[in-house]
Amino acid sequence: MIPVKSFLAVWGLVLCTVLLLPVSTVQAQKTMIVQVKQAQIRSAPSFLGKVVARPVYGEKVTVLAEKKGWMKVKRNITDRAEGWMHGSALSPVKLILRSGDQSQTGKASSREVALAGKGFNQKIEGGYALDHQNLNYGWVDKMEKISPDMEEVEKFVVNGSLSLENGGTNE
Amino acid sequence: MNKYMNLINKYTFIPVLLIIFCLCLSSCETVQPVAEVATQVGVLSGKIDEQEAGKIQKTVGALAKSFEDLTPEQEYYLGRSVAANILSQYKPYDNQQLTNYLNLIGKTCSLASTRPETFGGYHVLALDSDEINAFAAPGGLIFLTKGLLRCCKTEDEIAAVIAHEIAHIQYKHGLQAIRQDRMTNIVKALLEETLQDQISENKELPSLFEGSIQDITATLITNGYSQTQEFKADQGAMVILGNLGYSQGALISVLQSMRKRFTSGKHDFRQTHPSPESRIAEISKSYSVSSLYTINSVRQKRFLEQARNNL
Repeated sequence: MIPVKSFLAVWGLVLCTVLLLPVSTVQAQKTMIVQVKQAQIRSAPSFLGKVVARPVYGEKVTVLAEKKGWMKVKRNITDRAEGWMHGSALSPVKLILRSGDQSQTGKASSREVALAGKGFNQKIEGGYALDHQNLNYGWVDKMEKISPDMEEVEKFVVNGSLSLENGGTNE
Repeated sequence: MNKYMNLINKYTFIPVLLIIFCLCLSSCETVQPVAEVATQVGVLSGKIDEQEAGKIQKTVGALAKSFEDLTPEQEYYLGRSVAANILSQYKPYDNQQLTNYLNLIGKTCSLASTRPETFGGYHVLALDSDEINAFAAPGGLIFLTKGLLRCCKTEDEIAAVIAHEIAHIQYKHGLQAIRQDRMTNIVKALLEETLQDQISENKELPSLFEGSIQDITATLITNGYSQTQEFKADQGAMVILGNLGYSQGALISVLQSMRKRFTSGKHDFRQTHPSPESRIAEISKSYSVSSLYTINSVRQKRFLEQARNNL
């Protein structure tokens, strides 16, 4: 009798998986996860647009529209802020397929962000650095702190007769 | 009866797995999760054991674009350690004015790329070396030697070399330098961690991390990217320059300067890049631009003050 149960279990689970796939795919198209440390939601699809919100790494956002590499998104948390994020700051949420929409808070559920912090992370780097004490992480940290803000960049661009009109939309 | 049912199960599980897999091939994004679902189904039904499930994941994982399975966060940590290796071999050139100027150009160029945002952002640093060279660690850490900066006669030419490095990052050429067998093991290890839903990391990850850093650093410093990747980075740089309004002829011009300044016997771009002549020839197939271009006076003034005077 065990093989019969097993047979039914296989087909039952497979049927569920196949039936749920289209639904999950639709979900994946509508929801994305912030995949950068410092993300901004802007008032317009441009890096010159005013910053209206700063979603955190791993946060889920709903995609409302897409335009030349930019995505109009809405935060799922209480402020429900809407605006534009560049597509390179967002991940298509692969893992939502196996977890469904479990989050009411807008933060991705633990299973959805299973890869956040996994794999190569600060702890692995720490172990590597310990084994290779000749490496210069001090300058790497220093280098990461050097980052001009958008006001400076805009001034630099305008003074130099450059343009950010086509930013992030090549190819 | 049992024997008969086992036979059915044996011959139904594999086609079922294939059906799921085929359904999901239509979307690259779903290949990996479906491998997980399929193997979980197999394990639950008792038809395959954990080891076999691992093999299936490994196979499907290899079919996915494996280097793209690394998250930007993992790319960031690889890039930091690659950068730490570069900085153990090259001394940083600690000049605040030059560093700020390079980072303004770098940030501007990144905003015109297809990948303006990475996990940790783009950062540029000059290296105190007469060698003519540049390196892009995965995730956005870019290094330019003083020797290379001296080849640049305008801001547009500095932008051209930075844009070339940004293009390597946007196309993830650094991650593609990781040996394929190692990358397959990384993807497998990540899958295992995800499936386990445990906080403890896979025991193989530290050695996979170290090996990956060796692969990338060796490619950047010693072996170089493939000719195809270099040509692609030049094409990416041309698009970035064009998007911003920088002169695209600046890339041709700086390649010509690099060719003139190469000193025989020294380690430099020549060991790791196609010849400037072949790069110019390749660019000329798609772009009709001259190395003689109009120099913008404001950009030239700031170039002289903030770059040339500091080199």
